Amino acid sequence: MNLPQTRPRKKWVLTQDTFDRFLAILDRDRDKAGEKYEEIRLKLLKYFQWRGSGFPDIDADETINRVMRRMEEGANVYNLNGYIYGVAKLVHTESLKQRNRKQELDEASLVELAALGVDAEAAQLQECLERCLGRLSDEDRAIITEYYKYEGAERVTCRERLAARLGVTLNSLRVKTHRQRLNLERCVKKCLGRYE
Amino acid sequence: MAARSPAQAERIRYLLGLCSQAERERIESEYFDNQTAFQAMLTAEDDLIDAYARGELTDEERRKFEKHFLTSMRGRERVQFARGFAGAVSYSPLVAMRAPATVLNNLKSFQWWLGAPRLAMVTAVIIMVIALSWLFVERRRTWNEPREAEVSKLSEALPRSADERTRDAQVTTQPEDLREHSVKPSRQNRAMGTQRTRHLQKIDNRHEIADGLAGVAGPVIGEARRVPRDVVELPLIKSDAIQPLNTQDAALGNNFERKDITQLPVNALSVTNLLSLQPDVARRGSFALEPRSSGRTTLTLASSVKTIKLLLRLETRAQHREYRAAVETADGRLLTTVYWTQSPSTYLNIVDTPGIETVGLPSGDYVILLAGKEPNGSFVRVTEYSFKVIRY
Repeated sequence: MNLPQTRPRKKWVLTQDTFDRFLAILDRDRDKAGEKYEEIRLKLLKYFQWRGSGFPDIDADETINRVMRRMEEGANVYNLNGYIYGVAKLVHTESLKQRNRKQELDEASLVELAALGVDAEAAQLQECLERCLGRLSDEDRAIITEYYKYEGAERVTCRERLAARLGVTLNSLRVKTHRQRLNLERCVKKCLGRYE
Repeated sequence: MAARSPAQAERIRYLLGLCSQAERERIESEYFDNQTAFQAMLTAEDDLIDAYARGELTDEERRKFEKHFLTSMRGRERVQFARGFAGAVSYSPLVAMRAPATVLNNLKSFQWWLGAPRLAMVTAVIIMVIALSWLFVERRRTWNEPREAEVSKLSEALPRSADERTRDAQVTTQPEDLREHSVKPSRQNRAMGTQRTRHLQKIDNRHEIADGLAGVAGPVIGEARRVPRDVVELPLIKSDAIQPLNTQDAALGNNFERKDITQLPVNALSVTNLLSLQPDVARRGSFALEPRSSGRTTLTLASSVKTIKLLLRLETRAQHREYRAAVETADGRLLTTVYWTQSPSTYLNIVDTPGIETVGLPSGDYVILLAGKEPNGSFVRVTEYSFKVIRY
Protein backbone atom coordinates (compact mmCIF):
# COMPACT_ATOMS: atom_id res chain seq x y z
CA MET A 1 0.00 0.00 0.00
CA ASN A 2 1.36 3.28 -1.03
CA LEU A 3 0.84 6.09 1.34
CA PRO A 4 0.24 9.48 -0.21
CA GLN A 5 3.50 11.28 -0.43
CA THR A 6 3.70 14.55 1.37
CA ARG A 7 6.54 16.87 0.78
CA PRO A 8 8.09 18.28 3.92
CA ARG A 9 7.22 21.94 4.34
CA LYS A 10 10.12 24.02 3.11
CA LYS A 11 11.35 26.33 5.84
CA TRP A 12 11.52 29.92 4.66
CA VAL A 13 14.97 31.44 4.75
CA LEU A 14 15.76 35.08 4.46
CA THR A 15 17.96 35.80 1.47
CA GLN A 16 19.89 38.88 0.44
CA ASP A 17 17.51 39.40 -2.47
CA THR A 18 14.49 39.40 -0.18
CA PHE A 19 16.15 41.83 2.18
CA ASP A 20 17.19 44.13 -0.68
CA ARG A 21 13.65 44.11 -2.08
CA PHE A 22 12.28 44.99 1.33
CA LEU A 23 14.71 47.89 1.66
CA ALA A 24 13.73 49.07 -1.81
CA ILE A 25 10.09 49.17 -0.70
CA LEU A 26 11.05 51.27 2.31
CA ASP A 27 12.93 53.84 0.24
CA ARG A 28 14.67 54.17 -3.12
CA ASP A 29 17.74 55.54 -1.38
CA ARG A 30 19.43 52.58 0.25
CA ASP A 31 20.85 54.67 3.10
CA LYS A 32 17.46 56.12 3.93
CA ALA A 33 15.92 52.70 3.59
CA GLY A 34 18.44 51.42 6.10
CA GLU A 35 17.46 54.15 8.55
CA LYS A 36 13.78 53.30 8.12
CA TYR A 37 14.54 49.65 8.66
CA GLU A 38 16.29 50.51 11.93
CA GLU A 39 13.31 52.65 13.00
CA ILE A 40 10.95 49.76 12.33
CA ARG A 41 13.14 47.33 14.20
CA LEU A 42 13.43 49.65 17.19
CA LYS A 43 9.67 50.11 17.31
CA LEU A 44 9.19 46.35 17.29
CA LEU A 45 11.85 45.87 19.92
CA LYS A 46 10.19 48.41 22.18
CA TYR A 47 6.74 47.00 21.48
CA PHE A 48 7.81 43.56 22.63
CA GLN A 49 9.68 44.94 25.63
CA TRP A 50 6.67 46.98 26.69
CA ARG A 51 4.39 44.02 26.19
CA GLY A 52 6.59 41.94 28.47
CA SER A 53 8.13 39.60 25.93
CA GLY A 54 10.89 37.38 27.29
CA PHE A 55 12.92 37.69 24.09
CA PRO A 56 12.08 40.98 22.43
CA ASP A 57 15.03 40.78 19.99
CA ILE A 58 13.96 37.41 18.70
CA ASP A 59 10.31 38.40 18.47
CA ALA A 60 11.20 41.61 16.60
CA ASP A 61 13.32 39.74 14.07
CA GLU A 62 10.62 37.09 13.67
CA THR A 63 8.07 39.81 12.93
CA ILE A 64 10.23 41.43 10.26
CA ASN A 65 10.99 38.03 8.72
CA ARG A 66 7.29 37.20 8.46
CA VAL A 67 6.53 40.59 6.90
CA MET A 68 9.27 40.14 4.32
CA ARG A 69 8.12 36.60 3.57
CA ARG A 70 4.52 37.65 3.05
CA MET A 71 5.57 40.47 0.76
CA GLU A 72 7.77 38.09 -1.20
CA GLU A 73 4.82 35.75 -1.56
CA GLY A 74 2.90 38.57 -3.16
CA ALA A 75 0.82 40.05 -0.37
CA ASN A 76 -0.47 43.54 -1.18
CA VAL A 77 0.52 45.76 1.68
CA TYR A 78 -1.01 49.21 1.54
CA ASN A 79 -0.15 50.39 5.02
CA LEU A 80 3.22 48.92 5.91
CA ASN A 81 3.31 50.24 9.50
CA GLY A 82 -0.17 48.93 10.20
CA TYR A 83 0.71 45.57 8.63
CA ILE A 84 3.86 45.27 10.69
CA TYR A 85 1.90 46.06 13.84
CA GLY A 86 -0.64 43.38 13.00
CA VAL A 87 2.06 40.76 12.51
CA ALA A 88 3.73 41.88 15.74
CA LYS A 89 0.51 41.28 17.67
CA LEU A 90 0.32 37.80 16.24
CA VAL A 91 3.91 37.01 17.12
CA HIS A 92 3.36 38.32 20.61
CA THR A 93 0.28 36.15 21.12
CA GLU A 94 2.17 33.07 19.99
CA SER A 95 5.10 34.00 22.18
CA LEU A 96 2.81 34.34 25.20
CA LYS A 97 1.36 30.90 24.60
CA GLN A 98 4.80 29.37 24.46
CA ARG A 99 5.84 31.16 27.62
CA ASN A 100 2.78 29.96 29.49
CA ARG A 101 3.66 26.40 28.70
CA LYS A 102 6.99 26.85 30.46
CA GLN A 103 7.40 27.21 34.20
CA GLU A 104 6.41 30.70 35.40
CA LEU A 105 9.32 32.76 36.57
CA ASP A 106 9.39 33.79 40.16
CA GLU A 107 9.03 37.53 39.62
CA ALA A 108 9.64 38.40 43.22
CA SER A 109 12.97 36.64 43.21
CA LEU A 110 13.93 38.44 40.03
CA VAL A 111 13.22 41.78 41.64
CA GLU A 112 15.27 40.75 44.65
CA LEU A 113 18.08 39.75 42.36
CA ALA A 114 17.84 43.08 40.63
CA ALA A 115 18.26 44.98 43.90
CA LEU A 116 21.27 42.89 44.91
CA GLY A 117 22.81 43.49 41.54
CA VAL A 118 22.41 47.23 41.93
CA ASP A 119 24.10 47.30 45.33
CA ALA A 120 27.07 45.31 44.21
CA GLU A 121 27.87 47.38 41.13
CA ALA A 122 26.91 50.88 42.31
CA ALA A 123 30.44 52.01 43.05
CA GLN A 124 31.73 50.77 39.72
CA LEU A 125 28.77 52.32 37.97
CA GLN A 126 29.56 55.72 39.45
CA GLU A 127 33.10 55.51 38.21
CA CYS A 128 31.97 54.46 34.76
CA LEU A 129 29.33 57.18 34.69
CA GLU A 130 31.92 59.82 35.57
CA ARG A 131 34.12 58.56 32.79
CA CYS A 132 31.33 58.46 30.22
CA LEU A 133 29.98 61.88 31.15
CA GLY A 134 33.49 63.21 30.82
CA ARG A 135 33.57 62.09 27.21
CA LEU A 136 30.68 64.34 26.29
CA SER A 137 31.33 67.87 25.10
CA ASP A 138 30.79 70.58 27.73
CA GLU A 139 27.67 71.73 25.94
CA ASP A 140 26.14 68.26 25.64
CA ARG A 141 26.95 67.45 29.23
CA ALA A 142 25.34 70.70 30.41
CA ILE A 143 22.24 70.06 28.31
CA ILE A 144 21.72 66.48 29.43
CA THR A 145 22.35 67.41 33.06
CA GLU A 146 19.87 70.25 32.89
CA TYR A 147 17.29 68.08 31.11
CA TYR A 148 17.30 65.25 33.65
CA LYS A 149 18.00 67.29 36.76
CA TYR A 150 14.53 68.23 37.91
CA GLU A 151 11.78 66.16 39.45
CA GLY A 152 8.01 66.00 39.43
CA ALA A 153 5.97 68.79 37.91
CA GLU A 154 9.01 71.09 37.77
CA ARG A 155 10.62 68.76 35.26
CA VAL A 156 8.35 69.57 32.33
CA THR A 157 8.42 73.34 32.84
CA CYS A 158 12.19 73.38 33.06
CA ARG A 159 12.52 71.25 29.93
CA GLU A 160 10.31 73.64 28.00
CA ARG A 161 12.44 76.52 29.22
CA LEU A 162 15.59 74.70 28.21
CA ALA A 163 14.22 74.05 24.74
CA ALA A 164 13.24 77.71 24.35
CA ARG A 165 16.68 78.79 25.50
CA LEU A 166 18.36 76.50 22.99
CA GLY A 167 16.02 77.65 20.24
CA VAL A 168 14.72 74.16 19.48
CA THR A 169 11.38 72.45 19.84
CA LEU A 170 10.72 70.34 22.90
CA ASN A 171 10.44 67.28 20.69
CA SER A 172 13.87 67.89 19.13
CA LEU A 173 15.33 68.26 22.60
CA ARG A 174 13.66 65.01 23.69
CA VAL A 175 15.10 63.17 20.71
CA LYS A 176 18.59 64.52 21.30
CA THR A 177 18.68 63.86 25.02
CA HIS A 178 17.17 60.41 24.63
CA ARG A 179 19.88 59.47 22.13
CA GLN A 180 22.58 60.85 24.38
CA ARG A 181 21.17 58.94 27.31
CA LEU A 182 21.20 55.73 25.28
CA ASN A 183 24.80 56.42 24.30
CA LEU A 184 25.66 56.97 27.95
CA GLU A 185 23.93 53.72 28.90
CA ARG A 186 25.91 51.84 26.26
CA CYS A 187 29.12 53.49 27.38
CA VAL A 188 28.47 52.61 31.03
CA LYS A 189 27.54 49.03 30.12
CA LYS A 190 30.74 48.66 28.13
CA CYS A 191 32.72 50.14 30.97
CA LEU A 192 31.08 47.86 33.52
CA GLY A 193 31.83 44.92 31.28
CA ARG A 194 35.52 45.56 31.83
CA TYR A 195 35.05 44.98 35.55
CA GLU A 196 33.56 41.54 35.04
CA MET B 1 4.27 60.17 39.50
CA ALA B 2 3.22 63.70 38.65
CA ALA B 3 2.12 63.33 34.99
CA ARG B 4 1.65 66.60 33.26
CA SER B 5 -1.00 65.95 30.62
CA PRO B 6 -3.64 63.30 29.87
CA ALA B 7 -1.48 62.06 26.98
CA GLN B 8 1.53 61.63 29.23
CA ALA B 9 -0.59 59.91 31.90
CA GLU B 10 -1.91 57.55 29.25
CA ARG B 11 1.59 56.66 28.13
CA ILE B 12 2.62 55.90 31.69
CA ARG B 13 -0.44 53.67 32.15
CA TYR B 14 0.47 51.86 28.96
CA LEU B 15 4.03 51.29 30.09
CA LEU B 16 2.86 49.98 33.43
CA GLY B 17 0.35 47.67 31.77
CA LEU B 18 -2.64 49.48 33.25
CA CYS B 19 -4.43 50.27 30.00
CA SER B 20 -7.49 48.54 28.62
CA GLN B 21 -7.01 46.53 25.45
CA ALA B 22 -8.69 49.18 23.31
CA GLU B 23 -6.49 51.95 24.74
CA ARG B 24 -3.42 49.80 24.31
CA GLU B 25 -4.13 49.04 20.65
CA ARG B 26 -4.83 52.69 19.93
CA ILE B 27 -1.55 53.79 21.48
CA GLU B 28 0.36 51.06 19.69
CA SER B 29 -1.18 51.91 16.32
CA GLU B 30 -0.28 55.52 16.88
CA TYR B 31 3.36 54.95 17.65
CA PHE B 32 3.82 52.40 14.90
CA ASP B 33 2.42 54.94 12.47
CA ASN B 34 3.90 58.18 13.79
CA GLN B 35 7.55 58.71 14.64
CA THR B 36 6.77 61.67 16.91
CA ALA B 37 4.38 59.56 18.95
CA PHE B 38 7.02 56.84 19.20
CA GLN B 39 9.61 59.35 20.38
CA ALA B 40 7.15 60.55 23.02
CA MET B 41 6.82 56.95 24.23
CA LEU B 42 10.60 56.60 24.50
CA THR B 43 10.79 59.80 26.51
CA ALA B 44 7.92 58.64 28.73
CA GLU B 45 9.82 55.41 29.38
CA ASP B 46 12.96 57.34 30.35
CA ASP B 47 10.92 59.53 32.69
CA LEU B 48 9.19 56.52 34.23
CA ILE B 49 12.49 54.80 34.92
CA ASP B 50 13.86 58.02 36.44
CA ALA B 51 10.74 58.40 38.56
CA TYR B 52 11.20 54.86 39.90
CA ALA B 53 14.87 55.52 40.62
CA ARG B 54 13.97 58.68 42.55
CA GLY B 55 11.13 57.06 44.49
CA GLU B 56 8.40 59.16 42.89
CA LEU B 57 6.02 56.31 42.04
CA THR B 58 3.03 55.29 44.11
CA ASP B 59 3.05 51.82 45.65
CA GLU B 60 0.89 50.35 42.91
CA GLU B 61 2.96 52.00 40.17
CA ARG B 62 6.14 50.75 41.77
CA ARG B 63 4.84 47.18 41.91
CA LYS B 64 3.75 47.33 38.28
CA PHE B 65 7.03 48.87 37.26
CA GLU B 66 9.06 46.18 38.98
CA LYS B 67 6.93 43.49 37.36
CA HIS B 68 7.34 44.96 33.88
CA PHE B 69 10.86 46.31 33.97
CA LEU B 70 12.89 44.47 36.53
CA THR B 71 12.14 41.00 35.20
CA SER B 72 14.42 41.52 32.23
CA MET B 73 18.15 42.08 32.20
CA ARG B 74 17.74 45.11 29.98
CA GLY B 75 15.22 46.68 32.35
CA ARG B 76 17.46 46.06 35.35
CA GLU B 77 20.40 47.65 33.57
CA ARG B 78 18.33 50.71 32.74
CA VAL B 79 17.17 51.11 36.32
CA GLN B 80 20.71 50.69 37.58
CA PHE B 81 21.88 53.38 35.20
CA ALA B 82 18.99 55.67 36.14
CA ARG B 83 19.88 55.46 39.83
CA GLY B 84 23.46 56.44 39.19
CA PHE B 85 22.49 59.07 36.66
CA ALA B 86 19.93 60.67 39.00
CA GLY B 87 22.64 61.12 41.57
CA ALA B 88 25.01 62.55 39.02
CA VAL B 89 22.67 65.23 37.63
CA SER B 90 20.66 66.28 40.67
CA TYR B 91 21.20 67.00 44.33
CA SER B 92 18.23 64.96 45.46
CA PRO B 93 18.82 61.88 47.56
CA LEU B 94 18.43 58.60 45.72
CA VAL B 95 15.97 55.91 46.71
CA ALA B 96 17.65 54.10 49.59
CA MET B 97 17.60 50.50 48.47
CA ARG B 98 19.83 48.69 50.90
CA ALA B 99 22.89 50.43 49.50
CA PRO B 100 25.93 50.05 51.75
CA ALA B 101 27.21 53.17 53.55
CA THR B 102 30.41 53.39 51.52
CA VAL B 103 28.43 53.61 48.29
CA LEU B 104 26.27 56.41 49.69
CA ASN B 105 29.41 58.27 50.72
CA ASN B 106 30.80 57.89 47.22
CA LEU B 107 27.56 59.18 45.79
CA LYS B 108 27.61 62.21 48.08
CA SER B 109 31.22 62.98 47.23
CA PHE B 110 30.39 62.69 43.55
CA GLN B 111 27.52 65.16 43.99
CA TRP B 112 29.83 67.52 45.88
CA TRP B 113 32.39 67.27 43.11
CA LEU B 114 29.79 68.28 40.55
CA GLY B 115 28.64 71.19 42.76
CA ALA B 116 32.19 72.42 43.46
CA PRO B 117 32.52 74.64 40.39
CA ARG B 118 29.33 76.48 41.34
CA LEU B 119 30.54 76.91 44.91
CA ALA B 120 33.90 78.17 43.69
CA MET B 121 32.18 80.74 41.49
CA VAL B 122 30.05 82.04 44.35
CA THR B 123 33.10 82.24 46.60
CA ALA B 124 35.01 84.11 43.92
CA VAL B 125 32.18 86.64 43.55
CA ILE B 126 32.06 87.21 47.32
CA ILE B 127 35.83 87.71 47.49
CA MET B 128 35.64 90.17 44.60
CA VAL B 129 32.91 92.19 46.29
CA ILE B 130 34.90 92.33 49.53
CA ALA B 131 38.04 93.35 47.65
CA LEU B 132 36.25 96.09 45.73
CA SER B 133 34.68 97.43 48.91
CA TRP B 134 38.06 97.54 50.62
CA LEU B 135 39.61 99.29 47.63
CA PHE B 136 36.82 101.86 47.65
CA VAL B 137 37.24 102.60 51.33
CA GLU B 138 41.01 102.81 50.99
CA ARG B 139 40.72 105.17 48.06
CA ARG B 140 38.44 107.51 49.95
CA ARG B 141 40.79 107.48 52.89
CA THR B 142 43.88 108.25 50.82
CA TRP B 143 41.95 110.91 48.90
CA ASN B 144 40.89 112.68 52.04
CA GLU B 145 44.23 112.52 53.89
CA PRO B 146 46.13 114.96 51.61
CA ARG B 147 43.26 117.40 51.74
CA GLU B 148 43.26 117.22 55.51
CA ALA B 149 46.98 117.90 55.49
CA GLU B 150 46.45 120.88 53.17
CA VAL B 151 43.79 122.26 55.45
CA SER B 152 46.14 122.22 58.40
CA LYS B 153 49.01 123.70 56.33
CA LEU B 154 46.93 126.58 55.09
CA SER B 155 45.54 127.19 58.49
CA GLU B 156 49.05 127.47 59.82
CA ALA B 157 50.19 129.70 56.97
CA LEU B 158 47.50 132.36 57.36
CA PRO B 159 47.36 134.81 60.24
CA ARG B 160 44.78 133.73 62.74
CA SER B 161 43.47 134.84 65.99
CA ALA B 162 43.98 132.76 69.06
CA ASP B 163 40.32 131.82 69.05
CA GLU B 164 40.52 130.63 65.50
CA ARG B 165 43.59 128.58 66.30
CA THR B 166 41.69 126.91 69.07
CA ARG B 167 38.73 126.29 66.86
CA ASP B 168 41.04 124.91 64.22
CA ALA B 169 42.47 122.43 66.65
CA GLN B 170 38.98 121.34 67.54
CA VAL B 171 37.94 121.11 63.93
CA THR B 172 41.01 119.26 62.66
CA THR B 173 40.70 116.68 65.37
CA GLN B 174 37.07 116.20 64.60
CA PRO B 175 37.25 114.34 61.29
CA GLU B 176 38.59 111.27 63.11
CA ASP B 177 35.88 111.65 65.70
CA LEU B 178 33.31 112.00 63.00
CA ARG B 179 34.61 108.94 61.23
CA GLU B 180 34.61 106.94 64.43
CA HIS B 181 31.05 107.92 65.07
CA SER B 182 30.02 107.80 61.47
CA VAL B 183 27.50 105.04 62.00
CA LYS B 184 25.40 107.10 64.36
CA PRO B 185 26.52 110.73 64.32
CA SER B 186 25.61 112.39 67.57
CA ARG B 187 24.17 115.88 67.81
CA GLN B 188 27.53 117.10 69.06
CA ASN B 189 29.40 115.70 66.09
CA ARG B 190 26.88 117.10 63.67
CA ALA B 191 27.34 120.49 65.25
CA MET B 192 31.11 120.10 65.01
CA GLY B 193 30.75 119.16 61.36
CA THR B 194 28.72 122.29 60.66
CA GLN B 195 31.27 124.37 62.53
CA ARG B 196 34.07 122.88 60.48
CA THR B 197 32.32 123.67 57.20
CA ARG B 198 31.87 127.29 58.21
CA HIS B 199 35.51 127.48 59.27
CA LEU B 200 36.70 126.01 55.97
CA GLN B 201 34.66 128.58 54.09
CA LYS B 202 36.40 131.29 56.09
CA ILE B 203 39.75 129.84 55.10
CA ASP B 204 38.64 129.87 51.45
CA ASN B 205 37.68 133.49 51.68
CA ARG B 206 41.03 134.37 53.23
CA HIS B 207 42.82 132.46 50.49
CA GLU B 208 41.00 134.36 47.76
CA ILE B 209 41.83 137.65 49.40
CA ALA B 210 45.48 136.63 49.61
CA ASP B 211 45.38 135.82 45.90
CA GLY B 212 43.85 139.17 45.09
CA LEU B 213 46.42 141.01 47.16
CA ALA B 214 49.30 139.09 45.62
CA GLY B 215 48.03 139.86 42.09
CA VAL B 216 48.12 137.45 39.22
CA ALA B 217 51.85 137.39 38.79
CA GLY B 218 53.13 134.27 37.22
CA PRO B 219 51.39 130.95 37.13
CA VAL B 220 49.62 129.73 40.18
CA ILE B 221 49.35 126.12 39.56
CA GLY B 222 48.55 123.24 41.74
CA GLU B 223 47.01 124.86 44.76
CA ALA B 224 44.00 122.94 45.87
CA ARG B 225 41.11 125.19 46.52
CA ARG B 226 39.13 124.65 49.58
CA VAL B 227 35.84 123.06 48.72
CA PRO B 228 33.20 121.10 50.62
CA ARG B 229 34.33 117.59 51.39
CA ASP B 230 32.30 115.76 48.82
CA VAL B 231 33.17 117.97 45.85
CA VAL B 232 36.29 117.40 43.83
CA GLU B 233 37.70 120.43 42.08
CA LEU B 234 40.57 120.39 39.71
CA PRO B 235 43.48 122.79 40.31
CA LEU B 236 43.04 126.21 38.82
CA ILE B 237 45.66 126.96 36.20
CA LYS B 238 46.55 130.53 35.49
CA SER B 239 49.30 131.09 33.00
CA ASP B 240 50.51 133.76 30.62
CA ALA B 241 50.85 131.04 28.02
CA ILE B 242 47.09 130.44 27.85
CA GLN B 243 45.32 132.16 25.01
CA PRO B 244 42.72 134.70 26.10
CA LEU B 245 39.09 133.85 25.40
CA ASN B 246 37.72 135.02 22.10
CA THR B 247 34.65 136.92 23.05
CA GLN B 248 34.27 138.71 19.72
CA ASP B 249 34.08 136.08 17.01
CA ALA B 250 31.31 133.46 17.23
CA ALA B 251 32.86 131.29 14.47
CA LEU B 252 34.57 128.95 16.86
CA GLY B 253 35.37 125.26 16.78
CA ASN B 254 36.05 122.92 13.87
CA ASN B 255 35.54 123.93 10.35
CA PHE B 256 32.98 121.70 8.75
CA GLU B 257 33.58 120.46 5.29
CA ARG B 258 30.58 120.19 3.10
CA LYS B 259 30.34 116.54 2.17
CA ASP B 260 27.24 114.58 1.25
CA ILE B 261 26.80 111.28 3.03
CA THR B 262 26.84 108.65 0.34
CA GLN B 263 27.27 105.55 2.44
CA LEU B 264 26.25 104.35 5.86
CA PRO B 265 29.11 103.59 8.25
CA VAL B 266 28.38 99.90 7.92
CA ASN B 267 31.95 98.69 8.47
CA ALA B 268 31.10 95.37 6.90
CA LEU B 269 27.99 94.95 9.05
CA SER B 270 24.69 93.85 7.60
CA VAL B 271 22.59 96.77 6.43
CA THR B 272 19.41 94.82 7.00
CA ASN B 273 20.48 94.19 10.55
CA LEU B 274 21.33 97.84 11.07
CA LEU B 275 18.06 99.06 9.66
CA SER B 276 15.90 96.46 11.25
CA LEU B 277 13.83 97.80 14.08
CA GLN B 278 12.56 94.41 15.09
CA PRO B 279 13.15 93.85 18.79
CA ASP B 280 13.19 90.11 18.34
CA VAL B 281 16.05 89.60 15.91
CA ALA B 282 16.12 85.89 16.05
CA ARG B 283 18.88 84.31 17.95
CA ARG B 284 16.18 82.16 19.48
CA GLY B 285 13.20 80.75 17.58
CA SER B 286 9.89 81.80 19.12
CA PHE B 287 7.69 84.49 17.65
CA ALA B 288 4.25 85.77 18.44
CA LEU B 289 1.88 86.37 15.56
CA GLU B 290 -1.32 88.41 15.62
CA PRO B 291 -4.34 87.57 13.46
CA ARG B 292 -4.25 88.94 9.92
CA SER B 293 -6.84 91.55 10.78
CA SER B 294 -4.38 93.12 13.20
CA GLY B 295 -1.66 93.55 10.64
CA ARG B 296 1.47 91.80 9.45
CA THR B 297 4.40 90.79 11.62
CA THR B 298 7.96 90.83 10.37
CA LEU B 299 10.26 88.03 11.47
CA THR B 300 13.96 88.68 11.08
CA LEU B 301 15.74 85.34 11.08
CA ALA B 302 19.43 84.70 11.36
CA SER B 303 20.71 82.00 9.05
CA SER B 304 21.70 80.00 12.13
CA VAL B 305 18.05 79.64 13.19
CA LYS B 306 16.95 76.26 11.84
CA THR B 307 13.48 76.04 13.32
CA ILE B 308 11.00 78.52 14.66
CA LYS B 309 8.08 78.13 16.94
CA LEU B 310 5.10 80.41 16.48
CA LEU B 311 2.81 81.61 19.24
CA LEU B 312 -0.46 82.29 17.46
CA ARG B 313 -2.79 84.67 19.21
CA LEU B 314 -6.44 83.78 18.70
CA GLU B 315 -9.29 86.22 18.43
CA THR B 316 -11.20 84.23 21.03
CA ARG B 317 -10.37 81.64 23.63
CA ALA B 318 -8.94 78.37 22.26
CA GLN B 319 -11.82 76.04 21.41
CA HIS B 320 -9.97 73.01 20.10
CA ARG B 321 -7.54 70.45 21.40
CA GLU B 322 -5.84 69.62 18.12
CA TYR B 323 -4.76 72.06 15.46
CA ARG B 324 -3.41 72.20 11.95
CA ALA B 325 -1.36 75.08 10.55
CA ALA B 326 -0.77 75.34 6.84
CA VAL B 327 2.09 77.65 5.87
CA GLU B 328 1.64 79.17 2.40
CA THR B 329 3.40 81.76 0.31
CA ALA B 330 1.54 84.99 -0.30
CA ASP B 331 0.44 83.68 -3.71
CA GLY B 332 -1.14 80.58 -2.17
CA ARG B 333 1.56 77.94 -2.66
CA LEU B 334 1.53 75.44 0.21
CA LEU B 335 4.92 75.02 1.84
CA THR B 336 4.29 72.84 4.85
CA THR B 337 1.54 71.68 7.19
CA VAL B 338 2.04 70.96 10.87
CA TYR B 339 -0.31 69.18 13.22
CA TRP B 340 -0.21 69.20 16.96
CA THR B 341 -2.16 68.66 20.12
CA GLN B 342 -2.36 71.82 22.18
CA SER B 343 -1.18 71.43 25.74
CA PRO B 344 -3.11 73.22 28.46
CA SER B 345 -1.69 76.68 28.73
CA THR B 346 -1.91 79.62 31.04
CA TYR B 347 -2.73 81.77 28.02
CA LEU B 348 -6.19 80.71 26.89
CA ASN B 349 -6.07 82.61 23.62
CA ILE B 350 -2.66 81.53 22.38
CA VAL B 351 -1.72 78.31 20.65
CA ASP B 352 1.87 77.39 20.04
CA THR B 353 2.97 75.46 17.01
CA PRO B 354 5.61 72.78 17.00
CA GLY B 355 8.92 73.71 15.40
CA ILE B 356 8.73 74.75 11.76
CA GLU B 357 11.82 74.26 9.64
CA THR B 358 13.12 77.56 8.32
CA VAL B 359 14.97 76.06 5.35
CA GLY B 360 11.77 76.46 3.36
CA LEU B 361 11.26 80.06 4.45
CA PRO B 362 13.46 82.41 2.44
CA SER B 363 12.81 86.14 2.67
CA GLY B 364 9.29 86.90 1.56
CA ASP B 365 5.64 87.11 2.52
CA TYR B 366 3.74 84.21 4.03
CA VAL B 367 0.36 83.26 5.34
CA ILE B 368 -0.60 80.73 8.01
CA LEU B 369 -4.04 79.15 7.89
CA LEU B 370 -4.91 77.84 11.32
CA ALA B 371 -7.60 75.18 11.64
CA GLY B 372 -8.95 73.32 14.65
CA LYS B 373 -10.02 69.69 14.75
CA GLU B 374 -13.65 69.07 15.50
CA PRO B 375 -14.89 65.99 17.44
CA ASN B 376 -15.97 64.40 14.16
CA GLY B 377 -12.38 64.57 12.92
CA SER B 378 -12.79 67.36 10.40
CA PHE B 379 -10.80 70.59 10.55
CA VAL B 380 -12.48 73.98 10.66
CA ARG B 381 -10.90 77.31 9.95
CA VAL B 382 -9.91 79.29 13.05
CA THR B 383 -8.01 82.29 11.76
CA GLU B 384 -5.25 83.46 9.42
CA TYR B 385 -1.91 85.08 10.04
CA SER B 386 0.22 87.13 7.72
CA PHE B 387 3.93 87.58 8.24
CA LYS B 388 7.05 88.65 6.44
CA VAL B 389 10.40 86.89 6.73
CA ILE B 390 13.71 88.69 6.40
CA ARG B 391 16.70 86.34 6.35
CA TYR B 392 20.24 87.49 6.96
